[in-house]
Amino acid sequence: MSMHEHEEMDMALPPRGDTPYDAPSAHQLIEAVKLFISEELDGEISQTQKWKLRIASNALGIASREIQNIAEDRKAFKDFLGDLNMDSEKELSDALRNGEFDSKLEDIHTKLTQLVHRKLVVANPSYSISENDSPA
Amino acid sequence: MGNTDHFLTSHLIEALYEPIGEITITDLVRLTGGANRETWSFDAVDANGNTTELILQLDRDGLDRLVGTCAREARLLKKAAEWNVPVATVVTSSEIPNPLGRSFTVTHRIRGETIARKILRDNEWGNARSVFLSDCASALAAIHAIPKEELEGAELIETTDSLLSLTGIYDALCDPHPTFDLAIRWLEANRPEPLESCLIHGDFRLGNLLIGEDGLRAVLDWEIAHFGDPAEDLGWMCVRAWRFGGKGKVAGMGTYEDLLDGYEETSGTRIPLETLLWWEIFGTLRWGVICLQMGGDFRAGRTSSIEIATIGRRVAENEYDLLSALKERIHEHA
Repeated sequence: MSMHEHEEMDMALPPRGDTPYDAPSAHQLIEAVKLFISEELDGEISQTQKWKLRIASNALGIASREIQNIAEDRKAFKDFLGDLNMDSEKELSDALRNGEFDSKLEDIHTKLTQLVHRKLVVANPSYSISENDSPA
Repeated sequence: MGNTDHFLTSHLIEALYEPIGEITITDLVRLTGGANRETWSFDAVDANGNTTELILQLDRDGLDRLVGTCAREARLLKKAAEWNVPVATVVTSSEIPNPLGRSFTVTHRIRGETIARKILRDNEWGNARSVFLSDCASALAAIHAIPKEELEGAELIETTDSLLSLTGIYDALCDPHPTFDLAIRWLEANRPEPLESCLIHGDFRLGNLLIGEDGLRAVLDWEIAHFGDPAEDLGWMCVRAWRFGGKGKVAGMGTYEDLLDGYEETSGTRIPLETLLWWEIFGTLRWGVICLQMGGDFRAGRTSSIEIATIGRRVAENEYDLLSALKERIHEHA
């Protein structure tokens, strides 16, 4: 490649973001391994191995989404407990069981739903959108 | 053939001498699946060349809490067969101490399918699907109809309060999930009228049910059978995890009414819909706690299985299902 060609191309690398490390990031590396498992290995292996690799790929998917979402979700989690004047999940669990929230069940239900939705987006994003499959 | 296979083969030949006669063993293959049991498939060939297709189940090594359960289960299977529950026929079973060092059971091998996704989707099981729910309802009614006195000596525990037992397990895990506590609070406040205690299977669901082209052929995995409320078995079948993506509320295939109608037809007992739904919500909590426990096995280093590890992350699915189920019920009260 000559210097002339460089001038006509956008040489700027994708931003690395606020990180002390080089790229690719943990998220990008996991995504690459995930792709390797689901596409490159796919044709070369048995049904049983495919099943096992699908489980491995799912695990990587969770890790990858967690890395992307954890900063925001950690904040939401802290705000959730703060709004309810609770120091920990343990304290909230005990209070719920003792009936301390019985008069505010609607509110706590709404807040828990928002929080669980965040967990599900990381753990299994396709789960909550299959509406025909909704529970009782 | 590895050492384990040789070891198993020689003991199997010995154990099967009485029920079948002199045999050789062929096609011994270890099957996948089953966290608490080891399962093998094999053929027994007698001197005339007649082949009997068999299954061997063994208690897993080192799991002390399960010692003797294969033999216990065999006694239950024989009793269930007498009372017209579709089960695999027991050929022989053995308690410890025995030369294998583990309790085991040999049953006839029934041809068919247990993998839920195949049962729900493959064309070959279309006919089985059309009768599956009424077959299940009849089988449940047959299990629940076995008189308790017939089961003396079966070492079955009596669970008088399933919610209290489950809550105890959840609390002992020391990993609080407020959604579970919200569900426990609701379940405690809205208990249905209990039904008369009887033998219940405890894990009656897709995955533990073997089907053939003609419908349900065998109810498998009786290891947690106990005395309890029969509606618990029906509710467990409806839990979303056991729909395996199928659209029907019951085992991904049918409606609540189908199940309740079929059960009433055979048992004479009409379980109210609200009772069934309470047990479905209970079942969802139960599966959530089991997910937490299984993920805990990985966290505590008792297993290195990625599959078990990811089950820990399925807790959130159950929290979501519990919140969805409770949504209207909580708003009603408000």
